[in-house]
Amino acid sequence: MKKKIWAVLLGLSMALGLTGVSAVAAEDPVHIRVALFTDGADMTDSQKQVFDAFKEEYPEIEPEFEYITSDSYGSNWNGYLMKIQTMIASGNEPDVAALGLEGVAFLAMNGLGLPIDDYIAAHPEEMEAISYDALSTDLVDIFRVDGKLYGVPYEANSVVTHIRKDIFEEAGIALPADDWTWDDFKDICAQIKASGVDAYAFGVPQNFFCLQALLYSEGGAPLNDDWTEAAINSEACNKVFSFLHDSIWVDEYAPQPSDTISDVELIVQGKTAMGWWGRWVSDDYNSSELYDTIYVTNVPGGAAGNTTCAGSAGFVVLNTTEHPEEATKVALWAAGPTYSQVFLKTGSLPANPTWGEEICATDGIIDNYQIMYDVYNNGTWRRSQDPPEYADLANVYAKYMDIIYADQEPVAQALDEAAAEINQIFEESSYRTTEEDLAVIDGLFKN
Amino acid sequence: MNTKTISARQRKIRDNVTGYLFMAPTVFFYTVFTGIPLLMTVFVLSFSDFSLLKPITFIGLKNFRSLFTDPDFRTVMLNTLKFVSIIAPVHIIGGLVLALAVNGVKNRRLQGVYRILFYFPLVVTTSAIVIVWGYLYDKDFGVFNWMITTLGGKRVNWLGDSRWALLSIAIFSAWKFIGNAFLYYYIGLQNIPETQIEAARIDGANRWQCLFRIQIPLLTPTIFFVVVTTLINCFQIFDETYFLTKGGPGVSSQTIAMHIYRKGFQEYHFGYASTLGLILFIIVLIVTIIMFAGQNKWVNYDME
Repeated sequence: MKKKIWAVLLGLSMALGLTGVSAVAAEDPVHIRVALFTDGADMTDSQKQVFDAFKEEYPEIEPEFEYITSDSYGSNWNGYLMKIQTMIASGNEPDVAALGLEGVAFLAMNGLGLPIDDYIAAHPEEMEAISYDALSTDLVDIFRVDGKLYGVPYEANSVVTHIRKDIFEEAGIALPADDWTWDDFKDICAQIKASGVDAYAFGVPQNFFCLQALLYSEGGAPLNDDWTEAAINSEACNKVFSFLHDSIWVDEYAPQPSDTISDVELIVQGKTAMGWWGRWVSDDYNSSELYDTIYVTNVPGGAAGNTTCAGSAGFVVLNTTEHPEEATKVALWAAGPTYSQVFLKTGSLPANPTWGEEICATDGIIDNYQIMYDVYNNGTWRRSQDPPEYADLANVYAKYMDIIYADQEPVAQALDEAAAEINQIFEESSYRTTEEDLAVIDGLFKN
Repeated sequence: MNTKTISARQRKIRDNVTGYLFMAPTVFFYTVFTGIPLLMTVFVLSFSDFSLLKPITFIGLKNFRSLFTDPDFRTVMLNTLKFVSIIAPVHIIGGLVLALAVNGVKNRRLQGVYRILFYFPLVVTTSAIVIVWGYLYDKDFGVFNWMITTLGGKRVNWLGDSRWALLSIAIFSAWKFIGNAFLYYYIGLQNIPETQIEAARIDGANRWQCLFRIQIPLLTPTIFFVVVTTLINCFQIFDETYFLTKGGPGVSSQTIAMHIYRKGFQEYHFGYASTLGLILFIIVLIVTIIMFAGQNKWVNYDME
């Protein structure tokens, strides 16, 4: 009898145990690893807020943010993407990764991304929740490769001129109009120099993304229109680089850039009065408590008017993920309002103006942020030219910016050498060997 | 007799097994983290196209041909040779001079202070201390130029001019790493029996004679070690250039090790980076072989 009782109890406990296990398994949330690019700032609180908000909507999914830093040589996204690559190669890849426009073609042409078109078609309610229709179509198309969409932008940055109001005031100079020109800019530089204020007029761009804005305004570009050949040695580019070179070595409007003090640190420390960036530097302004000090306006107008450089970043689902449905849900949700309200309070410009303008209006850093959105509304922007060989190009750009800024070679010679190296990269590229590949590059969004 | 022989043999085997067991962890880690990567680099990756994400493709000698079309290869090789020819003598000779000077200090406590002073920079992380040096060197806002202009001189473009960048890095490198050579020499000098120097003094040898006839000859094994390791380290120089100038202006201070990093970890050309690594390996190997082949002529291992 005792044996029977024991057998029944054992059977019951096993049955309960199994039921328990299956119940736990059913409730166990799916963990989605999300890689984020960071400059090293502590985001613990922000992360918790976003976690809580997401889990409230989707308790069955547990996002895990992984912050990845990068060195800044060439492009900030380079080192970040390299680390993602290493994670993929070692089988330790995230499910979702934030990606700037630089790496979109590279990622897609290496077959690393998962297209999200089918998911979007099947979940219109999620697209409505993130106000997808309010996004600039061009900003979205940056994430379209070979007709397939790989991400929805959550941030977008247009390069504008940042001006320290206090230095202008000290020098007795009026803030420029939004439609100012390069001649106006040069006049202001001369006035700042003559005023005797203890600051240079501006800092030359150290980031090629920002420098492209100046090239675009003069009608130049590093590559030709279909991204098959270098155009960095064009007359327009030469004019811009010569101006930047002369500003350092002839007119003394700008200091020679160094690795010790970046162009952003120069304006934060009040050592320069102007510079060119997107909204992302508001993080630096905020951490230095630089409130009500910065005014922004368009890049000075040249041969192509006030056209600037802009781009977007979005979350891309890696095709190695074991949970494509959940990963896509996280990636799209991050393009929504909660993520922007928490992570982009200061920092990059939210891609979606629906809530972006509200966020910018309350940051207390850049009052006239509207000019950054006007760039998209007016169509006075061009995307940065990022073919799949962007990492090689970033090193060429960094090398020759350095050579020109350091007065190591005549500008024309340096630009001719840069063009030759770019063309060599294209000739030897493994991304341009078949007609299909060339068609994919040809089909990338360009404006 | 037979039993005794077997017993000795068994003891020998047992000793060998114990020795191999002690070596096993090192051999294992060396094989996994150095041996296999080295063989992969030499025999596989150098002849392949590899970007981490796609399967390795054999491309024969293409990477070696690329050495001739790489616009920066010649410059970075020359830069590396310049660094070796500037920094190696500074470390090798400077370290020896410092060690002899400190060894000559009679006060033991003061000797300890000097030891700490000269070795301290080596303990500090390069990436951290280089931030300070960057501010010292800065052209517009740096301390060195502030001092120079205060004294009526002209600003020097320490890191932003290719004519100064190599020298600036060499100065930093000397400050940062000379303590390593100094320490080896110092220990070597401490190991020279005092009795030999005293005997020479009694026989009438002056200070210089003691130095050149006793101390330096007895120090030659240490000098040999320092020369070999310093040359190898100088050929592989990376930290100083990467952190101080990022190889600039342009590539004017970029070394072969930094070029390998750039090609591999920034541009994803791991095959070509491996070829560059192989070239560096061969150069270091040749230099080391030459050093070892020539040591019989000047290194004195006889302490008696």
